[in-house]
Amino acid sequence: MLSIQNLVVSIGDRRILKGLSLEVGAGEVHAIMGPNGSGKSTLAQVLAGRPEYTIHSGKVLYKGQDLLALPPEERARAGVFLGFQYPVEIPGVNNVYLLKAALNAVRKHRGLAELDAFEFLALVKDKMRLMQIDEAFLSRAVNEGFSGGEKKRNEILQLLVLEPELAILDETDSGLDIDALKVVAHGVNATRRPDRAILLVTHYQRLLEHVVPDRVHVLTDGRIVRSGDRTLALELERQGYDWLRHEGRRA
Amino acid sequence: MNAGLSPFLASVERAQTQAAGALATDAEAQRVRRAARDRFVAAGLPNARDENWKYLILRGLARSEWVLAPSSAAEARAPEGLLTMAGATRLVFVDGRFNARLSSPRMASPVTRIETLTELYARAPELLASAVPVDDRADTRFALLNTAFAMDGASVEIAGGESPLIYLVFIATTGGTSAQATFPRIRIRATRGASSTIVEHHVADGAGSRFVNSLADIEVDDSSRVDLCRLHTLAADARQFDTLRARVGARSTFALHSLMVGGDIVRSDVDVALNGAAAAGQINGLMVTAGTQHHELHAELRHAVPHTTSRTHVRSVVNDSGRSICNSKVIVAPGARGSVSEQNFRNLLLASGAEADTRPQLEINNEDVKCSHGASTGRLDPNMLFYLLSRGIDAAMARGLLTYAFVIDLLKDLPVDELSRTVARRVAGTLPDRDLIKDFI
Repeated sequence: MLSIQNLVVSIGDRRILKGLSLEVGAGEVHAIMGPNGSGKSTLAQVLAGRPEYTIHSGKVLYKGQDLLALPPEERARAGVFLGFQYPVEIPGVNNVYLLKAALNAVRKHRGLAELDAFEFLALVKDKMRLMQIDEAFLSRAVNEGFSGGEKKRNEILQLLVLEPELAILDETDSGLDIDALKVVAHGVNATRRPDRAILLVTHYQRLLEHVVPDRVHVLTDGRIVRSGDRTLALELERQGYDWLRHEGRRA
Repeated sequence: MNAGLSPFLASVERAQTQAAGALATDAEAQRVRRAARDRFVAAGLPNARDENWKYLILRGLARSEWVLAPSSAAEARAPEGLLTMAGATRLVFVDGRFNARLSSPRMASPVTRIETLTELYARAPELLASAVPVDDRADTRFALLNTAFAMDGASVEIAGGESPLIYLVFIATTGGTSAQATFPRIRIRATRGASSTIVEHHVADGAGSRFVNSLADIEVDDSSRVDLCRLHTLAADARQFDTLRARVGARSTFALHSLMVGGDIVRSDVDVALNGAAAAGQINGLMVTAGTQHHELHAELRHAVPHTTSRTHVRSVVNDSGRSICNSKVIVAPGARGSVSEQNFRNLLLASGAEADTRPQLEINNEDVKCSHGASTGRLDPNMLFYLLSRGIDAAMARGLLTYAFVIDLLKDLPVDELSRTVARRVAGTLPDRDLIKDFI
């Protein structure tokens, strides 16, 4: 599904990813863990197509296709979804309109007819129940005045409605209390399917208690320095990241 | 004719001859008009020394010619783009003359008197003496010209209650080769707990150049509130010079919603004086320009007494080589303690040739006041843009949406929901990429 080979990326003068490689197969859930500043969010943003980053070398193949050659909107239509660490407030643009336009853009790409207003609303309301989002959400502007938890639930709602093939969730667990974390985890688990890959970018392992990953990778200083199964996350929880830091420098 | 006159002042002289027969014959009215005309001519056009006029002088103000619009009542029609608002009393003026056929019946209201200025001055001729509400300063000089040549206008008086929604339409038609000049005029008086929402719409019928010189004279007093929504949707070849004066008394609020979306040049000079305790003034300004369009809003808000508040929010969207200019000055008079004022300006530039000039000014002659101002000029927020793109939204559509959102955020403060929606649709229809975002509007 996703194959990242020797990716080197910088922003401004700062080199952030320094030869990162990663393989994620269909149906798999991978967790990317690492200390602050290790490049986790950069990886997520680069995969979604954020224009501020410079790609120096390396390749990213998504379903065999050169992902980096596509503008961000085409990546989204091709089935790549980024759940933002800091979802953006857009006063004046209604949540539901955005969701509908986004869904129709994706459906058009897949050769499906646009949903009519009733079908769409039924679909959204169904997913809103799952994410425990209040009906008032329908008339609000995108993320405007939302609490941190509401913004994260909104990201997962979009994930549920858009049904991407590759979901990248950037610290979706940060800033959530335990109840909200369970709702978000429940939403993520509901999207697990044999034809869908999920990349969880996270600092802590507590989300991984609820969304159990197939693989865990440790990102330090722009490279993956250790990969393992879910027990690696538990080890990180016990020991912190320091014992792996030197491996990043050495590698 | 004096050969040394600029084409503009020569037009004034010609109009005087032309108007002698056409305008009100009443001797007092003629005296008032002539006095205003003489003051205008004596003061002359603003020149390069008047800082607030430098842009328009460059645009050839003195070289522009115009003629008084002839009466075209018989063939007058309602142009496209008029607002339809349920329950509104509509007064329509065509080239400055009242048109009963295009107007609605006036809603009966025990607290509201809506009439034409002709009717007002017939009923109360003593009011004519105070018909020139301004001084000779460059920024208010065009009010004199309006007084010299206005044919008619609208008068709204509200006392002791809420008026129905009032819709005042000023249609400018076109004629021959010279720009046709019209002189729309409104007068608003609100007192004793009155409240009123008035929509003033300047609109053009047909193509061809025209010169619109408008005046609004407003007094809000004794626990009253007036919301004046001015919608400028003139055609691309029209030039409008506008003057607004508002006097706000005790516990009263005047809110101006100035929405400029049309015209070649639209310039509005707004003067609001907060003269009574706890008086409040609000200016919400929107300028949307494209092509070589040019919009200017000059606002002066004076806190004359203690415990008065003012708020100025202006947004402009500038595309192509358009230009928006906002010059806002808040003056706190000596002794006006406890004054609170907030000024906020945001400009959105959509093209490399676009230009926005913002000049917030504060003149504080006092301590114990709270005054703030902020201004920003820039392009669309890259974070918002990327968020929309990352959801599969087309790039042009995303830009259109964010531009629309920038505008809508200001329009949500309009006093009537139906008006907000109607104006939002009308304004959205002038934005770039409007076809792409029509489902959102």
